Amino acid sequence: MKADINSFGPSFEERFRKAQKVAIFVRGQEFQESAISDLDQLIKEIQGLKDSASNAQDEDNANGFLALELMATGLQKEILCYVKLKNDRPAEAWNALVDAESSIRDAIRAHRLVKDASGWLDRIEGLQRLLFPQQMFFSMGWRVRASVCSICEKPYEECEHILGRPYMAKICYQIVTDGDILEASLVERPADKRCRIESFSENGNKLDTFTLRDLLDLSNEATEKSDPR
Amino acid sequence: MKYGMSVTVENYGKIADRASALGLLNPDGFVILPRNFDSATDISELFYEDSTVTLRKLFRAGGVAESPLEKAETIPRIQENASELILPTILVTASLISENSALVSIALNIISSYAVDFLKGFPKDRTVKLNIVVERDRDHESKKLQYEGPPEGIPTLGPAIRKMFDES
Repeated sequence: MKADINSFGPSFEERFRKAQKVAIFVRGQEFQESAISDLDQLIKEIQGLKDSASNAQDEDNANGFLALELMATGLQKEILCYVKLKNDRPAEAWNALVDAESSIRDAIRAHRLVKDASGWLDRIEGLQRLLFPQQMFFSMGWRVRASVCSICEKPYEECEHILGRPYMAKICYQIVTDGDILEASLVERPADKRCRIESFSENGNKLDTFTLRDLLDLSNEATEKSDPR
Repeated sequence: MKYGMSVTVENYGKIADRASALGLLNPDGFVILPRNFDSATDISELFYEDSTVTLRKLFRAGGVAESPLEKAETIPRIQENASELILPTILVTASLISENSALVSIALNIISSYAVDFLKGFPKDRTVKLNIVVERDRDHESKKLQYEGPPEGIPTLGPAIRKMFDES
């Protein structure tokens, strides 16, 4: 059977909306964990359909399924963020929220069916500002002499693929094959929000930027637990 | 200003002299300039914006012939992992404007479409920066136009470029 985004659409929408109901911090953790599993199943189904469309060289449907996969992943990561926060794992919660944000952005690029996700992105950015302290990020500057295309693996300047565009359910990016680091700087708007300052020193203590817990104390406690002599 | 954009113009000197001092080919037509073309003291210091390679592909596909500055593509490019789009500096020499000004419009549309595409995932912050160096017809002195605004404003820069070319 032909993998078609239009015929899969209603099922996707129903399951997506169901999971969306628990994408709010105060919802029961058991419902959120169940939604994460349901979305896992949905993502696997979409990946199967995406592969079928790719194998049939049906690029529009393949890119459409990629967009659905990224939407489902974005929602799953947002819910995972709430669960991680409830489990006192703020660093993992932050990474989940950043993953959600990049999945939504890629979904917009992947296919025209994702027309407007600006409200969702606003909410994700709002959560980053409200739930976490203001942060500074690292950004690396590279001098690039050569790179290859992730789609065809030819030198990027020689092929016809365009960075950021989807090709048969894969988004094109550059792989640097020859380059060196020019500088590292602190920026407010990095390409990767995982590259953040994780700790700082104060009065001889190494404090976690999120929890303000002393990481040296935590490390000593862990050593004592593993070696109780 | 339309679209909430800002356009400023400043002197940029004689392009041919600068290229010659750096051991580059004489720029003629539609050219992409390295970021530090105006400040580098040696050819080995030069680097292009990372977006240069992608725009070159799009120019080729759109029938915009770009004149190279170097004999072989040896100038590296800089990739800064910030979330903003940094467009390269474009040079439009006097000969191109007098012989084929339509090409400038096509190139502006290509740059604009690329930026719109690039910023699809960033619905809130859609500001781009683009520098266009224009050679004056009269004495081949050049000026740099600095554009800052949404990508949709780029195609409207045609008249400003023409005015810089015609300036007496």
